[in-house]
Amino acid sequence: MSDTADAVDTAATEWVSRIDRGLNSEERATLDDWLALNVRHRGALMRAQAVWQGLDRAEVFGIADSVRRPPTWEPIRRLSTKRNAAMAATAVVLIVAGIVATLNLGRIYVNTAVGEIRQLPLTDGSRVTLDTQSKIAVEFTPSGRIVRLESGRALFEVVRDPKRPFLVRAGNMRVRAVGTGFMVRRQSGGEVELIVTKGVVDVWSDGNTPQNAMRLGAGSLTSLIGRRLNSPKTLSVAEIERATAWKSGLIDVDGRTLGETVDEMNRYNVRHIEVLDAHLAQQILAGQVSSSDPAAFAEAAAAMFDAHVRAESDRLILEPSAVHQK
Amino acid sequence: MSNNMTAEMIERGRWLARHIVPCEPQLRGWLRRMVPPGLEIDDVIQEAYTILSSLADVSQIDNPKAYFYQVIRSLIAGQLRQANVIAGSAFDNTPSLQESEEVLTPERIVSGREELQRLYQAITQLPEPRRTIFIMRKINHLPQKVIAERLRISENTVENHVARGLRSILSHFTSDEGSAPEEQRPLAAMRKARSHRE
Repeated sequence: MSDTADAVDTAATEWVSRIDRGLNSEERATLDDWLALNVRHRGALMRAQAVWQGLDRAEVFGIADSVRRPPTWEPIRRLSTKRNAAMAATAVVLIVAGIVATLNLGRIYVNTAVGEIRQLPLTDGSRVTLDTQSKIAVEFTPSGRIVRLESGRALFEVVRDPKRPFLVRAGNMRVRAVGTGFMVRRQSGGEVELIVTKGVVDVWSDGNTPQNAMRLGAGSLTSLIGRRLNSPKTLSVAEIERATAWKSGLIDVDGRTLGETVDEMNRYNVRHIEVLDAHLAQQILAGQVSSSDPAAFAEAAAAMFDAHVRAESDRLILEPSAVHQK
Repeated sequence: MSNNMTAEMIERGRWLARHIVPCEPQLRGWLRRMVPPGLEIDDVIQEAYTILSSLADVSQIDNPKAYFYQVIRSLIAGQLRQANVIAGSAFDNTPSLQESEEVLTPERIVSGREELQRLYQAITQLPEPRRTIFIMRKINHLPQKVIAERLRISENTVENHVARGLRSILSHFTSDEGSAPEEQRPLAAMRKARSHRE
């Protein structure tokens, strides 16, 4: 028990590095022993792990800057004159790339990992909430604010600024905000869905002009397939709330089947649920569930439908109880 | 530690990274001002992380920062009572959550460019070859094994650099607001340089 906090932190970072490259079974046992030695060890490990994972967010800058840049460090022994010449050429490219990066300073890329929902305040006071596994590029210039939704789903809450229109590009869909809230989702089939939650937007498809835009108010839903915009539908307040439940880490499951809910749940979690029985998958659910807790959801679903949860290392299997008893 | 535990660890790590780690500098500043000497702040913080890591479910915690402060507060109260430093009631006015409104403000889910900039700087300020290794691992998302191949160094060397780089980021990044490392405090560095000369 003579562990100083400093020595514990050092040991913890060593474990994080080993976990990052993958542990063998012997190391796992050693780690378990180390964790059992002192109650603080687990805390120190998780703290170091959290800081380590937090560094991933630096990639926002990486893409604009150093990610395209080859590593600046190489073992010296590998340098030859030929290489030196090549490196000099690289240096020129780097300087040019540096200038481009500076000019593009306003453009940042943000993406979310599995299960991550991220709120991103923008410099103009607007806000973007990114759903799991989504990617946007934000580019602000004095004359306009442009956000490209490259994949996934995002909810925009836009602060009005008549001098700098706010434009969202999602595939072939163009949405111009006029001080408003709206959600855009890119589906895997190329379809783009738009729901206006507040205020008014103009929407048109690429190739068309903004003058021919369709003006939609709060509660409207439309979608774009190819370059064709479907005529808008009106949603109730409750339907809008359901459609934006993901923002609070919830999945609205009212009236959905277990199969559909599990598909949705799996988008948010590394640990997937599998439903092995077609009949079970067709059961209808009600209410809202937390998108970040597949284990609790699986247990609740099992209790509701007389099923059983089999936990494997990387997934949870839902199967009818009869199979289990066999 | 099973595979499954590792997946859970990553999920909890993400939560801690987002809600708890960013409060640490402020918390340390606060503890330094409020807590009687003789109490190891680092020990308390490690133990608080143990508690936060052992919770079955954190999704119900509306204000993780306030929760973190409460955990710290109860740990300190327990330790002080145990050590008989202060009678139970006298402690109640020590690290009080009422100290500042700001403390109770929920941490922003995502910090702005400033915090991201700080993360990025934490990486770019590492000495080489750690800087390159961290950029390859954290920005280019290359596995340690591939980094070792590309840099023609052993996997073991990469692993050691990751551990040591993380160790220095850990201290730097979570250090007390009022006692930032010297390189962040030009005045302190200058003062130090002058006193050497004298």
